Amino acid sequence: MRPFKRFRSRHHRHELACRRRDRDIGSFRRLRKRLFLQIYAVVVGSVIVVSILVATTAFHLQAQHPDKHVPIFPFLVLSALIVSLGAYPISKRLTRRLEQLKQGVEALGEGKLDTRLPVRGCDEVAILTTSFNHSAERIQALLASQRQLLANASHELRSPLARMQMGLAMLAEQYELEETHSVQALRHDMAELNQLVEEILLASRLNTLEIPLTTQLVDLAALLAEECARLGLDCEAEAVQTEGDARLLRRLIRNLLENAKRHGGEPIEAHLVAQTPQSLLLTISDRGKGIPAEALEQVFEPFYRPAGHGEGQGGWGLGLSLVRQIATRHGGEVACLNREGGGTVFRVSLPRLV
Amino acid sequence: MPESLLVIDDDVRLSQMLAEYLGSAGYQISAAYTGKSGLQLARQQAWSLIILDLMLPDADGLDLCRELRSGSTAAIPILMLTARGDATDRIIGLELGADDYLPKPFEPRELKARIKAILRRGVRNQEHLPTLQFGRLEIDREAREIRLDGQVREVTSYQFDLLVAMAERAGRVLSREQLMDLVKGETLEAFDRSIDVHISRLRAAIEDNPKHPRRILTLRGAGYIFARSQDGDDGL
Repeated sequence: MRPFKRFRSRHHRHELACRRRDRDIGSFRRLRKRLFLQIYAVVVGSVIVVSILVATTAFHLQAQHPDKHVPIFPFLVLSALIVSLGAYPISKRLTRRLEQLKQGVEALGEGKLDTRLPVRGCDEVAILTTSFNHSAERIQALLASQRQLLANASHELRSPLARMQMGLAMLAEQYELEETHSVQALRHDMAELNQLVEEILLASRLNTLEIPLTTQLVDLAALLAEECARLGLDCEAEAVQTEGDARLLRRLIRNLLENAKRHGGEPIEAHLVAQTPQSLLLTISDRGKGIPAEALEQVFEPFYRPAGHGEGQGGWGLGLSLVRQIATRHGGEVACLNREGGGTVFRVSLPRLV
Repeated sequence: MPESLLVIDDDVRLSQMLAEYLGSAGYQISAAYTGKSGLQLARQQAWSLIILDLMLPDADGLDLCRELRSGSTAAIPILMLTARGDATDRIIGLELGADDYLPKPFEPRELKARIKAILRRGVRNQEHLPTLQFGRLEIDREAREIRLDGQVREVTSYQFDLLVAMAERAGRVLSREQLMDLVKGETLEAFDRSIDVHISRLRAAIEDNPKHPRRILTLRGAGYIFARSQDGDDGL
């Protein structure tokens, strides 16, 4: 924190000095004025220098050879040279600072939120740099508080859940209620609530693009095989790899498989193939009663519940909306289609790593 | 002499419940509600296990874990709890030397089982090769032993090497050729189908139902996979 603070205060002083010198900031008037004056000075200076040179040369030449003309051309070249020599550092300085600003904006866009730029001079570029620094600071603070909120919400919601679970276990043990229906049901409900809390937090984490994924090489075929084995399903997979967050990709696969079990119907098939050299295709298909055409997109909405579906039957919750978020964050996409011969198929395409 | 456990958690009510619940299971529980008092208490006595919450009012649990890993407390096993639910916490926690990790809310019976497993493994020794743990399965590379629920499962030396080779690469598809390369040694064994025989022996030893394997999976046409998440560990 220290160097940052020091920088800020120095920067602050500089800003105050700028304001004192000129209070009407807002347009690019000052930069234009300064550039005009600088170029004007260079041009006028070179004209004066060249005129003096021409005049002295003419004077000497005429004194020695009265019949000869003064050679104008070399003087023009000389004058062009002087102007360019004078103008080069001016333009160089301006473009260098703009270039720096551009790099800063790009770095910020790539997620390097601690990017700050040194403020030099007192013109509009300096003002722009100052406002860039302000914005960057604000974005960084906002994201930090968002992250903090997520961590706190997670903590605050889970602590009472943990106590409830503990209390239930103790009660059940004390009164030997372990195998009764009501204890089992309560336990199931708490697990559901916990899952929901987790999914809501995950959804908001995924929505915050600035929270980066922890990516690694993921053997998607192995993940699919593991998740299929977990639910007692068969799968066919080519050994393809992708880059991403293994936990999120596992969740994507699990949600799709569980969705097929819950809302689809047997037999459920899972396939993973290399689609092109750059992409892979995961399909999870079932032979359930399918989804009406107008709802094929809606199933990806959070807490989607089809018309006529009561509370007891349960909705889709966040499962499929998370699937879409995860696929999107990994640079892929997911679509839900009706199958020929009945049932539904979910197609997920993801970038492939060769 | 009951095993003494130290709980460092700022959730007072949960700590009290833990003390009661684990107390009835025969453990002796002491509780600290701040990081500072926890560290103090940890250094006073030879604990069998420390249960540490990651989110404390006065300290970051990860820093505390690092601190506990040095000095007189270095050998005491640590079980980490967290309600923060950040996937990276788990990885960092285990890297910092926690022996196990349980996200809140947890199933109390699960906690009891984990405590039992850690205590069975005994005092932390700076092992050269740490024991690999996958749910209820432990692969002790030092003693060259496979344990399921603490029960030793007998396999041949070659099969043990094969299992270790797979477990060290859990979550990856390994072809027969790769597996044979990884487990050299007995060159006589090196013909294609013999791997399948060894795999089915291993399955008989470590799977609950070898017909529907959950730990060693087959991917048709590609090879074998040792599952990364097994039993209670859901891998999410």
